Amino acid sequence: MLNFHFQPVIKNLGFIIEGVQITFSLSVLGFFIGSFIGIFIAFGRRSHNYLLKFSCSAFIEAVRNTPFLVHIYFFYFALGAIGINIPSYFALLIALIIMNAGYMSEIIRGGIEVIKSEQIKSAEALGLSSFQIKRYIIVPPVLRVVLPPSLNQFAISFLSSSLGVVIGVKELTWRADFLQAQNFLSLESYLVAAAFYIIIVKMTLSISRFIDKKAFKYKVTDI
Amino acid sequence: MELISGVNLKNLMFMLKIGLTTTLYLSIIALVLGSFVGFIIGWLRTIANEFFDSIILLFVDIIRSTPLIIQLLIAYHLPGFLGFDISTIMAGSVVIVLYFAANCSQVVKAGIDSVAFNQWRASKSLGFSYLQQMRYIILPQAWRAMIPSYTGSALGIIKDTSLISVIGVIELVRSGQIIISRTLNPLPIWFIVGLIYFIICWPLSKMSKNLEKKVQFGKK
Amino acid sequence: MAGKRILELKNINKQYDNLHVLKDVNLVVEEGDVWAIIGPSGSGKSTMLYCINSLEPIQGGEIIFQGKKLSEYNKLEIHESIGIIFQNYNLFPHLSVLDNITLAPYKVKKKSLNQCRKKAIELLEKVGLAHKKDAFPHELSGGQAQRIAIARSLAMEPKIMLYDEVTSALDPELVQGVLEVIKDLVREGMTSLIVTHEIPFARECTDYCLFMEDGRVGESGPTKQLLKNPKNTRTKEFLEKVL
Repeated sequence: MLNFHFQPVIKNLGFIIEGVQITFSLSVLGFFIGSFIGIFIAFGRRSHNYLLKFSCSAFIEAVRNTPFLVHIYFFYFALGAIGINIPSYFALLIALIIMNAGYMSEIIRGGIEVIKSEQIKSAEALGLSSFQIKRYIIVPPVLRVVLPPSLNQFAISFLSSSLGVVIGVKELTWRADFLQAQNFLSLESYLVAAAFYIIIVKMTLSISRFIDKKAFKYKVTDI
Repeated sequence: MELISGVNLKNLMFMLKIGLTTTLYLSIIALVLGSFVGFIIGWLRTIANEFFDSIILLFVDIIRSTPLIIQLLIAYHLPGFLGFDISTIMAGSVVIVLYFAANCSQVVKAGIDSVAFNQWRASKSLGFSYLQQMRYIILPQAWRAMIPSYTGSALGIIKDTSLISVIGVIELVRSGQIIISRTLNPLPIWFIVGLIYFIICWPLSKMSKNLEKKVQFGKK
Repeated sequence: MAGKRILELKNINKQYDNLHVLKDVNLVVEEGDVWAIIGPSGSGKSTMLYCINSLEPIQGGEIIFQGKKLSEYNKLEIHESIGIIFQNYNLFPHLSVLDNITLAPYKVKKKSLNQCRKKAIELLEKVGLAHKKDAFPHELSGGQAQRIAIARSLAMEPKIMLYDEVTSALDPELVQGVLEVIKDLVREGMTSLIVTHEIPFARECTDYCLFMEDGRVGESGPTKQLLKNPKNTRTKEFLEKVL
């Protein structure tokens, strides 16, 4: 009935782990560069300059309402056709950066809106320095609001990197796919890759829960 | 112009007729069946004891923590491994339905849990049975809380149907690829494919934001 | 007041996990009696109310309602006959005031909708809020919401009303409005158990007073007497703190 042969797959664990490293590097770069850009887009959406506001909103809506797969194909194939040849790794990376920028900008915007000017004014009136205000009044509530969805977005981004397989990026899913084409043990190969994803995603979410419990025991409410 | 060669009416009609209809078909199946299954699982989690809840959560977690593409690839190879025959689109649909159901179950459980415990107490004191409590007091409040996450997941699954192209099903993305293989001009095609997804998704996301606003202010 | 015994608590004991929250609580309530239940926080006053209307189970002792053991009634009968008002009113936010009041009689007692609506409007007039029948809970002040909560419970035509610190969450100027409604009900003969911190109200409106501390009955007796000359030292201490 169910005859699993994990040995041949485990033999290639080193090969698979190289894929994990590439997946990880892509996810981390994509997430942090995307978040960085996302900060500007978040502020851009709140600006009074109509053109800036519109472009940022348009960017966000374009990214959020089209499939990630299409982004990848676009950057790899479509741009390639008009002479902009982007290697597969970078095509995936750009797609990840753009996706993260689009989603993180909304999360960051939520963080910006948590800060109420009255709180800052009261803090100033109490004599707190600019640094103290940032450290005690601004940063904690913002982190509380921004950290869980950000970690969630990182997990999503991590899982999305698996689409690199369609353009030949040698990340984790590609490694599993490559192995199963050789040893015909498709189920075992994919399951091993899945195990890596599951472990890393669960770790990310545990970190999120841990931070939530430890660092943010108070509730952010309107006072 | 070279940029838009290949974008003729025949190709577009092909893409729309076969590709778009399959995408819409997959999306609707996923949304309807997935919501139903997801609702049941989410609801069960609210009444189950710790042991069963952790078992359900284990399955849900695994489905949500594995890339959809790997689940589709497994679904592609699994029937052969187990020895029975099933069409690719069927296997892929099952995966997509389960994936969306897993996401829905989280949304549903969070929504039901978000209703204040006092509402349970007050309604119980007035004599409502559990089913009456759910129907008249709890669910009407829970679904309002569910709207943002649910529509986010729903939009996600509509876009995620594109992944089934990787195992050979001809939906919108795959139909685009087929056209490109003939015309060798990817740029306008990918632009149009993106545009079609945008036309489907953006209005839905706008409507959900409006719905959110409408039921929010005042009711809570 | 000589009358039929409507409620009896015999040696009630209750535990929450390892916390013994009610210890050998005894109480006899006759029809028409109005009891004030006072005492420090955490003394088990609210818990006792929840046990009476079977929201919470008891581990020891018996509750006898209308001559029958509470466990022999089905849940519906208990909730129809025993009404409870919570500190946080707990109105249903997604329903209008009118719907809040008609929902239970309509769906639980299965009366006709017209009948329920008529009764609801009568009750709204009684609590002075008929003009708010189409409003939603978030549009009401705390005092108004609490009065609607009372109307909602009355719609089920209970024989006893339990009040769990119903004015504690209200702004001071809204408290009187709610107390007036309770006074009216008392005047009409509604058997009532009122957990409260409002000692002047207790002195004015209630017949008997129960002082609870640490899950036990410290003292019980006619209100005026207990408040003027408490026999128990703890009662004395509590009253001195509060008055």
